[in-house]
Amino acid sequence: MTQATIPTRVPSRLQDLREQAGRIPFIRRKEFTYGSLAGLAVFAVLFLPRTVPLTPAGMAVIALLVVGSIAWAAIFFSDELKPEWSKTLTAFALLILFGFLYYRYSTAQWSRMMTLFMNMEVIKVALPRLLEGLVITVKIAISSWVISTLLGLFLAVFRAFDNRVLNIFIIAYVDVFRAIPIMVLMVVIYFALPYVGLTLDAMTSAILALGLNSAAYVAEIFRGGIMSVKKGQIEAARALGLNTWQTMRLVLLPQAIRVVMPPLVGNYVASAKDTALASSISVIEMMKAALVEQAMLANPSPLIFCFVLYLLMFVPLTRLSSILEQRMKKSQRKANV
Amino acid sequence: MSDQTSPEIMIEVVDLHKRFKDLHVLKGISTTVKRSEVVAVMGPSGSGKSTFLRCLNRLEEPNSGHIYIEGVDILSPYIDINKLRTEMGMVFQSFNLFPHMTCIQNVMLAPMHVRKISRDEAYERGIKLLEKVGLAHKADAYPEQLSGGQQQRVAIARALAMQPQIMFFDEPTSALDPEMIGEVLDVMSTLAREGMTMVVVSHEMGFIRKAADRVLFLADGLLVEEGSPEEIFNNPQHARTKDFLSKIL
Ligand SMILES: Nc1ncnc2c1ncn2[C@@H]1O[C@H](COP(=O)(O)OP(=O)(O)OP(=O)(O)O)[C@@H](O)[C@H]1O
Ligand SMILES: [Mg+2]
Repeated sequence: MTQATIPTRVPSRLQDLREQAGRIPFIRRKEFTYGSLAGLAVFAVLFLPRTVPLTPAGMAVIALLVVGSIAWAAIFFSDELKPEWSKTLTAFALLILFGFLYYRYSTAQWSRMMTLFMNMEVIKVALPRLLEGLVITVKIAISSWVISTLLGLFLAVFRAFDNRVLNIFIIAYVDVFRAIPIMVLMVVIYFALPYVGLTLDAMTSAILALGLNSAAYVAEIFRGGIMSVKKGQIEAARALGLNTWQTMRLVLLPQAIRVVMPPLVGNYVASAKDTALASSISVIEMMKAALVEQAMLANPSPLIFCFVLYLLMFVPLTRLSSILEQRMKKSQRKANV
Repeated sequence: MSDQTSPEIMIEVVDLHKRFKDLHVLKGISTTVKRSEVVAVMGPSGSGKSTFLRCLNRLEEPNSGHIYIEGVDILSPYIDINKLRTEMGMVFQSFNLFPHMTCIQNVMLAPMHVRKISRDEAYERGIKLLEKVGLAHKADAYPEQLSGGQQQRVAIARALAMQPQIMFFDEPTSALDPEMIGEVLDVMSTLAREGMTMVVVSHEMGFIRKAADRVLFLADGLLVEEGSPEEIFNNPQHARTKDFLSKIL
């Protein structure tokens, strides 16, 4: 080793900054963080009202406490130097605090919660009709999915041919059916069409309205998917001698479908949620069934049950949409490297 | 086909014009390509080389002029363009492999759906072609898993799977890193030796010198000069040719 000079270690300037307490802004310092936290705690212990029907002063104290703790958390979260686990802890602490405040001071009758909202007796009585409603909801949803997928795909494929006259019709369809509120469409189909000799039963009208509306969105989603495929792909297929339909079926659509799946599933969820609008034309789907039972039994449990059923049906689907989207983004990133 | 050595005319182009709206890209090009001939097309960027090539298989529709392939007028409205294209393979600058299919599926697609041969036969033919371009071991890989040079070789195999009589190449190596250019040019040289009729847009001087029978030099939509590689490279006549060669040498 003939190295004559060992380079002197250059201290990091950031290190300096961090070590010089004077440079750290006041609100980032430990003294402030824990001092203000202690302040909030003392304030809560001293001033939080002890009796339940709240006075205006009591409300003001609670509001101050909520604002104060949110502000404290915001400052805490915005400090990059604080460890991640402490931020997680803070988030949980906030949730617990708010939960406690609501539980302690709201006028809800906690002891009667179960009999009010989760009354098994009531749900047992209401169950047959709720399930009938569920079946109808599912029927409407699935039928409208089929209609919207077929019609939307049809519109998108013809749009891809880029014929000027066809385009005008397709654009008009998409614009019109995206503009009309679904409920208005349902009502028109059910109540107005009979005057021009087209009488459809309520269920069919609901399916048709949802399907026609959703097809407009599906058409746009598929069009986006088709346009996302590079022009060179089509040229390569045509240069091999594939005809227009083969190119569409074997090259274009399989590539478009990957891009299209996440928004398509999202759109399916959206149109399935709108099945509840069918109640406006006297279809007894799940929500209507729950409302009827609620009125007859004078207890909101059927509504809560219906609420939970909706969640059980749609949370998995929305999750699926997100997973598909992430997977697609990942594979796209790989393809772009 | 490759054993046939008669100098019969494979492609005849007569006074070909192509406009994009106001832009007159091809201003009357006439030339002929004989069977088994390898013709290189050179010229500055924007001179219309790609457009010329794409007119030959009607990826672009010419505005006027005639193109005869083996004597058949391909601009006739009665021609089945899809059938015609099966006789002409095309290789693109950007490979354009189908990303949702494996290499072997890329190669099998057109034979199965256009030529309607059985899956087994298409597979057999496909594997042979992948062997020919040195990529049989990548048969089940997806295009994104291959290097650019490998992708281009698969693209050549895909075009050859239709057993075309003519191959068009549009700058097949200009999207490639230098170390991958050789492997693609090797495959093309082999094809040329086997007697494939080829029209190649390229500026790879070494390849053109070795493999091409004739060079067409395009500038501003006109065929300004043609001749053997030696004539064009060593003794260019036209000012545009001289200027261009001095820039790329
Ligand atoms: N589809 C199109 N629409 C309008 N203009 C086009 C189109 N394709 C090509 N052009 C124009 O035609 C001219 C010739 O293009 P072309 O791609 O044939 O040139 P090139 O000789 O292949 O050039 P390069 O070496 O850059 O590939 C260019 O000016 C280009 O902008
Ligand atoms: Mg070009």
